[in-house]
Amino acid sequence: MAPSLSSFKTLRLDGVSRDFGTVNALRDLTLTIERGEFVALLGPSGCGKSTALNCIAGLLPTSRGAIFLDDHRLDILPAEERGFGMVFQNYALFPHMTVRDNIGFGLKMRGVPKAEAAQRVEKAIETVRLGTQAHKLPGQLSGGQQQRVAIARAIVVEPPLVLMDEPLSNLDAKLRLEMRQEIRRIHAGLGSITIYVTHDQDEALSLADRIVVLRDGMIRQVGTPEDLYARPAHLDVAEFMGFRNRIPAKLKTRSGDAVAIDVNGVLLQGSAREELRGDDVIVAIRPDDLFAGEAHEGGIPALVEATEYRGRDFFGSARAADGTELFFRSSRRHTPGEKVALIADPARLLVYGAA
Amino acid sequence: MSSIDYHSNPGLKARLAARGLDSVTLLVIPAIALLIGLFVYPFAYGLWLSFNPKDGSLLGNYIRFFSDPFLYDTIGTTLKLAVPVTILNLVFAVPVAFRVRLMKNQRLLTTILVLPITLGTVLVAEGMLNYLGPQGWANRIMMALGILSSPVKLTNNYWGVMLSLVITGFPFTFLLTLSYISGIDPALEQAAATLGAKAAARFRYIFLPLLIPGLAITFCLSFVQAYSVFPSAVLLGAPAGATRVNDIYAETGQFEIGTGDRVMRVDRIWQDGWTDCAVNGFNFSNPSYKLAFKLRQAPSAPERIIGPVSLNDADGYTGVRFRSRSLAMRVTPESDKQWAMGKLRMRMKAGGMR
Repeated sequence: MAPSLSSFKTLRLDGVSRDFGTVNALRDLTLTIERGEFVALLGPSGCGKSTALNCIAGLLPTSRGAIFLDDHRLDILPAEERGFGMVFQNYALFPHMTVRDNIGFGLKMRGVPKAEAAQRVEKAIETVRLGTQAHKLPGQLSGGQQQRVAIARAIVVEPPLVLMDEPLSNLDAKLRLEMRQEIRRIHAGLGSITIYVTHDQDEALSLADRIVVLRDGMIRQVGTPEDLYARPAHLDVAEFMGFRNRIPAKLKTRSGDAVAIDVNGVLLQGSAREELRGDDVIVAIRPDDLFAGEAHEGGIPALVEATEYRGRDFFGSARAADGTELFFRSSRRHTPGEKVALIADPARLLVYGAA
Repeated sequence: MSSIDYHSNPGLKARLAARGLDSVTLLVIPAIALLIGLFVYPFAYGLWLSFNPKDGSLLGNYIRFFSDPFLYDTIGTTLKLAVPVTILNLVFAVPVAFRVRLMKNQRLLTTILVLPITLGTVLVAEGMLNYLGPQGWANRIMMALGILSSPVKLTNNYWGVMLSLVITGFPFTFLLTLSYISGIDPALEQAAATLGAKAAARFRYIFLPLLIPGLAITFCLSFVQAYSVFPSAVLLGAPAGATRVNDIYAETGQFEIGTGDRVMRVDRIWQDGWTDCAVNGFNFSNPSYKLAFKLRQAPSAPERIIGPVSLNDADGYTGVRFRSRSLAMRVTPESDKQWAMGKLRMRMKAGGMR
């Protein structure tokens, strides 16, 4: 039997790989996760994040590598012997069982005595706030309620590891925000490891203690949400983290991370994020950090194409002299065709080598 | 400013359209007419006829049906075939479908498994006779290899019909089962596995409860298919014997007997085994007339006369037991030895002397 929740300290993934035919869906995933950590696997579709989760859960055999919970090797066990809890994207609730029976299924399979099982099921129902729905069938519940059942079902067995596969992707925006908090609260109460797969950077940033960005089956960056948000290690990570503006530029001078670059003849200050080879670089910046000033103030000159109001600020798109499309923030509405100069904080203007 | 009328009802056309009735709906009329003409009307007419028997009573037909052992024996024999065949087909189909569901080359395998459907029962029956018959190559090979000393009889009896029904019925059962199993979200099984359910528990608690409705429908449809087994039974079974089924009954109701010792050759029905022959519904002008059978053991054997037997049963039902390939029948008045004329219905009854 897998180690119980009370005794384990770390989950260790050691070079976990998975091939589909000649395609390497997951390459050499190595990661050590401490008890109590909430880790998000983040990446675009096809990046291998779901493959990783299924390998850890035991639903997909690994091609190479090993998974350890402390010193127990788990990757050689079938899913039913690993003792992990999993929350599926489409919930995968048993349609013929009531909420209570769904939640109690794992306990029944583990041979927990009926009285104790009933007690634990009631506690789990309370944790996910489903008290009045316990006698219903999944088909009678809303999406959010079904999601709560799926979570309760996974955590009631007190697994050392809870795996969540895009659990919020089928919910509407408001419910998604609510459930985020709920998931965070449940995680804190459980004290186990949660591995959470998502393609939504907001979700990963708000939920995780640590984010693992995957691309083409490989780890691109591991870091705290703050790290990833402010200092993406690679251009593709930056793109994925919302650095929507990518501007080709020439490197002028460099001292440490501080660099001077030439964008269409305008000299700007920025921060280098990786080893730069050659003079051709790409400047990445979030629309949030690119401000529109008056044309004479200095900055990247551009012609406004459109602006839209988003509450506190206006966001707009403009075109630079070389045709690059730029997205910016502004304190006022601009008329299409208006000339603006786009300026940025050098710390927020990240410079990567051109591929 | 033109006034807008918010209160008058929409026109009839709009109201019908809201209920899903528009001009496109008219397209179903030919199909409905066909259904009524070819199915509903004949069925209703037959039903009506069944309540109007010749004797004038409302339920006469039904009383006769349920009090006639021959009829319910026939049904019983058919059930003895159809029920085990249906169960067997399901028992085979479920595990195969479970495996096929996970396969990549599902289409190829499905095609192979479904092929017997396209062959039709007659072709399958002929194939089985060639393959499994007493001189078929299955038996020959087994005997050549010394596994058998004499051929195993797998055709022209219960097992022949059974086997052919399994072969022709399996693809149908399999396809239905496969579609029901494929309809179950694979994530459910995965969820059950992560919750600690081993394969047996996953089947017992997840798949089985979800499959029951589908399996019930599959059972009914497969059963109906197996129940109408005439071609298999006639070609592969012992039509007069253990596998006589409903369809044969219709054939046996038509023999006529003429004057003299007219011989009715019914080789196609007679088999080697003992057979009961019964006669009823035979109305003689003189109730003291008796019935006798003249028959041969083999085409060249001497004739033997069985009977005469009295026809004094209340319902004019009587029977004799014989082993024969050809048969003559006569009705003898008590006093003289003339062969009588008349129509009679013959029935073959299963089993006989052992």
